[in-house]
Amino acid sequence: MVKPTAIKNNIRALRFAADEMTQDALAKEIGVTRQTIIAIEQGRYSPSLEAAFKIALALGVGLEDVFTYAPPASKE
Amino acid sequence: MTFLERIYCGILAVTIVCFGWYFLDTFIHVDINAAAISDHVTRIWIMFGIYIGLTIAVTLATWFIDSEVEDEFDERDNKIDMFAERVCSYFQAMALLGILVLVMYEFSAFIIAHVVLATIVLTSILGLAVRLYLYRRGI
Repeated sequence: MVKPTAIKNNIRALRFAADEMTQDALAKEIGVTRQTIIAIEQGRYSPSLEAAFKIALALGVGLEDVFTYAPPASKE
Repeated sequence: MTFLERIYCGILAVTIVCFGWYFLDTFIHVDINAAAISDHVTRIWIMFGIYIGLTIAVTLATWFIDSEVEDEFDERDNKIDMFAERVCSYFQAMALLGILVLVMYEFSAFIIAHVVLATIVLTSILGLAVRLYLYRRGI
């Protein structure tokens, strides 16, 4: 029913690199719930473009350093 | 589990217990083919009153128990809500067609009223279950 997202992320690693920022702190900084951060980290939810930019800004890196797109393999 | 998920769990439990009891009691003790809906109006209002009271009680209890409620309604909640509403609308459309068939075959007002009530209840249960599933499994 729910397809896994094709967008991969490095949020967990980047949080630890950013003074071991907690999920709660990141959630508060970008204005979402901690559950949403957990879902994004685990690849169960693709954030909106605005939330993605906010995450990158909060972690002090570029958007492409946080998120990468892994397109599904072609059937050919 | 977020505050919203706890509320949904509580309301889901209240809905299943309250309406489950009502439908079981009705179909065990009432001859549905001979019963008149006007004889059961008081019972239905009492059941609605209990349901609304319990739902408010569950919400307030969860609110007081969870003293550090800081969660806000965010974009994921919105997306989950929209998906659940869409699933519910499909179910309601099918149920309405079923009710139309009952009306065409001139089933009693008692049966039709209870099928309408069951549709409302099942839609509510389905919506809550889909929301809880998506909160756990992702969207």
